[in-house]
Amino acid sequence: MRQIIFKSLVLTLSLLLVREVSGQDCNASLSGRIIDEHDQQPLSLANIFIPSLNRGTTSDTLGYYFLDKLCPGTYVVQVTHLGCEPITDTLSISGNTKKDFFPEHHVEELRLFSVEAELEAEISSAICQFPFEKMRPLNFQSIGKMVEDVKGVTALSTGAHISKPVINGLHSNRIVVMNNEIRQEGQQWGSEHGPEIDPFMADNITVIKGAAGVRYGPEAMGGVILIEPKPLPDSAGIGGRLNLAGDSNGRKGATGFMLEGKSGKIPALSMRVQGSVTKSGNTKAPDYYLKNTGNEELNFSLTAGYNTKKAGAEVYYSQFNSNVGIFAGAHIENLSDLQNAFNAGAPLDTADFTYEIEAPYQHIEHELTKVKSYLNTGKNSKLIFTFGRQYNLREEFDAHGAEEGREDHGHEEEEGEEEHPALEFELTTHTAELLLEHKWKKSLSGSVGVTGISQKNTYEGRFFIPNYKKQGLGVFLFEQYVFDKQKLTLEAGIRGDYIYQQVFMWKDEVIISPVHEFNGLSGSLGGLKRLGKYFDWRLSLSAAWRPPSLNELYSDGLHHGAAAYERGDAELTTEKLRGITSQLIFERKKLDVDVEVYHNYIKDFIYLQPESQPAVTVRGVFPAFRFSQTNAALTGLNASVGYEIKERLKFKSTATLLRARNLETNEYLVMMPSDRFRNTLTYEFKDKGRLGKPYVSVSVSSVFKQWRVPQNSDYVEPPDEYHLVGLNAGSSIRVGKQKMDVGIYVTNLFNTSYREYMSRLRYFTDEPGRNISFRLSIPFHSKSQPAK
Amino acid sequence: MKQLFALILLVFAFGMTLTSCKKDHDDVFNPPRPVNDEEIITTVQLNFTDVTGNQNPFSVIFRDPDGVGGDEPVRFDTIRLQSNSTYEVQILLLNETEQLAENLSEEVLEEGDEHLLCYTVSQADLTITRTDSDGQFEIGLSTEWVTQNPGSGSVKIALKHQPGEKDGTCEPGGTDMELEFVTIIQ
Repeated sequence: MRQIIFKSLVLTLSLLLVREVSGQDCNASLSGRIIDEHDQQPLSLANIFIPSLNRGTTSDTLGYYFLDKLCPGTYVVQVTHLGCEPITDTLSISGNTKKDFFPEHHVEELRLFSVEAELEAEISSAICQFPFEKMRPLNFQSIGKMVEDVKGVTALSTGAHISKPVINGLHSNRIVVMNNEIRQEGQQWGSEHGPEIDPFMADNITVIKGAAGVRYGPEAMGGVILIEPKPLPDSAGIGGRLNLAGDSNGRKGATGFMLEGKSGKIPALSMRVQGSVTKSGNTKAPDYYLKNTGNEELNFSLTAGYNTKKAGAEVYYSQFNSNVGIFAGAHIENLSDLQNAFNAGAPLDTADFTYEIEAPYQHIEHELTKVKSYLNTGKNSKLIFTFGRQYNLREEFDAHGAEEGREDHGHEEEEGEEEHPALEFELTTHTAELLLEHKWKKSLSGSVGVTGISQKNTYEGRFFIPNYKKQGLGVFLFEQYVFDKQKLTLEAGIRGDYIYQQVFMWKDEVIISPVHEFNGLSGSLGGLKRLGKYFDWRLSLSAAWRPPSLNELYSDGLHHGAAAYERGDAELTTEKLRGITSQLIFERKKLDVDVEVYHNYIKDFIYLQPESQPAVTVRGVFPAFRFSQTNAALTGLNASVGYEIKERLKFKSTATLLRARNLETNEYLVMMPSDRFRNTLTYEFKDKGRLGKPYVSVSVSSVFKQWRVPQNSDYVEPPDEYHLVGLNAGSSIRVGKQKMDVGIYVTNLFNTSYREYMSRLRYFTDEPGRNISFRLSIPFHSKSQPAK
Repeated sequence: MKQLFALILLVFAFGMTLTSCKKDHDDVFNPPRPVNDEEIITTVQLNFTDVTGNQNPFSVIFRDPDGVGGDEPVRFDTIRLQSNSTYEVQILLLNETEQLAENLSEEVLEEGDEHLLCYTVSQADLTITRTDSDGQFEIGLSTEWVTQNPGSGSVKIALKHQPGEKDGTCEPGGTDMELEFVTIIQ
């Protein structure tokens, strides 16, 4: 009894004392929203922490956070989210304080232009992305080259200007490239056909690694590359940017300009015009110039948008035009030529520097028209309709000016045009998509949609793939559920696609028109969980598929430049992928680790199988290959480790490893990238005078010899391992009132001679030598008159 | 004012591009008829004449009607020669896809300074020398073959196209024709 009275006295007294000290109620609260600084998307699973109170919370699916029962006062608040720069703010809290936070991205990541892969394919919950606008300096190489530094991504290249991205060993028709939300269609089956997209237009590049069939449809097996322009301005006035770029190797000069404005009088209306022009001459390997490897490009785009809270629409038009010289030494006629070229060690055909592009060369045009409209149908739902029309022209001009007898189908020719391409493709594609995004309750969000595609392909000149018409339809659904308490996000998606394709070709003096029908199911199931304080773990299972491409079905002839006879098989069926990926991310103080392990099983994998008998033709004897199907397994590891050695000095190491096997022959698959590592050391200086965020970075890329190759699939041994040193430096500079960004990049600093297994030129020549690039980016803006 | 100017510029640019929309004028239902490369060699004929006159002239023929197409050649003869003999040989290159066979040897002769025929003997006891010229270098449409002891081997004949780079050797240029004939000296 006495004890109880005594305890309650003490309790009451202490309570009185506490109240005395605080002077008021501890009923204040802090709440708000965490939004990604770049794309204005809510960030879930962000940490909001007050160190002095040792209290914190995490943001929910919609980005909202709430901390209550706080004592009024001034506190330091820390906001962290994986992949983003932590925010530290000092806030004065009393009553119901509202504060939103806008986390940015790791600045050092940006420097290396390593556009990091997103944590999942289907989930729309945001992870900090890495827009180019924030990246200084910007690296205006071709799209394939720009994503090469992402772990897990390599390239299949034909010289310095043709680079096809390879994600986890898969490329061409096994990945999808999205150009401003429209699926890029441009004869991507061709190993010498790179994505036809203006690098100056790309403001944000996202690499999705792993099957993404549910959202992106057939062919999204290895991954997806999303290329997005900058969103239209949301504040009145006129602004823009001027970009200047120069490269020493190839003596390349490039200019990009962008002008955009938002009307003060009609707030919903905004527009942008953007363009770029590039010219470069022969590439130089350490010991010699590569004959006829110049490149010229002229691209532009126009965007107009009308955006209100309720609804909006946007129109986008872009053109890509280029002439790419094909290395003269690669246009060999037969196997003896190829052996001679390889044994010679250096191109037999020597050259000096010139800007002139002669045959053989490619002339490419890509025109895109896109219309998108949206309607906010409710507080938490949005209907989006996207329509696109693409026209892709590829003309191949051969070396001997081989003017094959060509029937003129009324193709428009400019006056005085003498040369005819040996081969010309025209691919016209219409796509349409209707999507409903929805959010139910607090934790469930998703999308349901239907997409359609209609495509027509015609050719003139030499036969390689036939004329065809294709229609496709896809329906998909994916949902995501966030368990706030358990810090767990679950997602699931499913999609069905049907494709109808009719081919038109000559056979025995008549035109036949066989029909192909393909269908497939894509699916995904995955989860993302925060483990303890420092770990994030993602696990995903996915299924994706693709129809065989036209060259796999119908090619029948010599593959120029490859000294191989390739034969298609019209009976091929769809490829079906089942994959599992597990990714673990650790982040604490000075150390961050990201390890991703994946295993993809592809049933009916299509590949070129060597035939037992070579092809005997008048031009010589050629190894013959036939497109066949087998079962394949691709297992890999992509990892990165980052450590802050001391303040401002950061070390990062990445590894990309792959084992790809043909399960039926029990051999390795041909043309798969070898293991590679990259080590980088970056130092950030303090802002000084006119210089803002100056930095210096040195890197070493180590690529090992690809000895994991099948027998009898190649004429020469894969090249030796090589190590390349790179050097970057950059800063923002203030000249008077004008701020600008400058950067210098040096690749292959020591002018190392090397050959890369994934380069189609490795039989003939070394890869390019040292290149010193200079970049200058100048933003400008003017304020409009205030609206009256 | 500045704004108005920019707006006009944008509208103008828009109008300009929409009128230059690119189109495919071809008919997808009517693909082009397969047309052979005008310079395709479908037939290679070697005409042998014994210099002493003791043996009858004869021909050795390679014929592949689809040129570089996938079908096997329809005829690929073996060269059979007498030992210790000398032959004058003419090589005839034809395009037999046309009704009237095109004599491509004539073109090679006309453009002699861009072409070279290369003969490589393996294992057979046989020496081949070119006997014609383009004025500076040999061409190889006419050759002399000298045999010695009986035996067997092969002769690889290649036609090199060397515009602007002919130097008398077989290294430069691209190969338009390359055939390896089984050769027997009896």
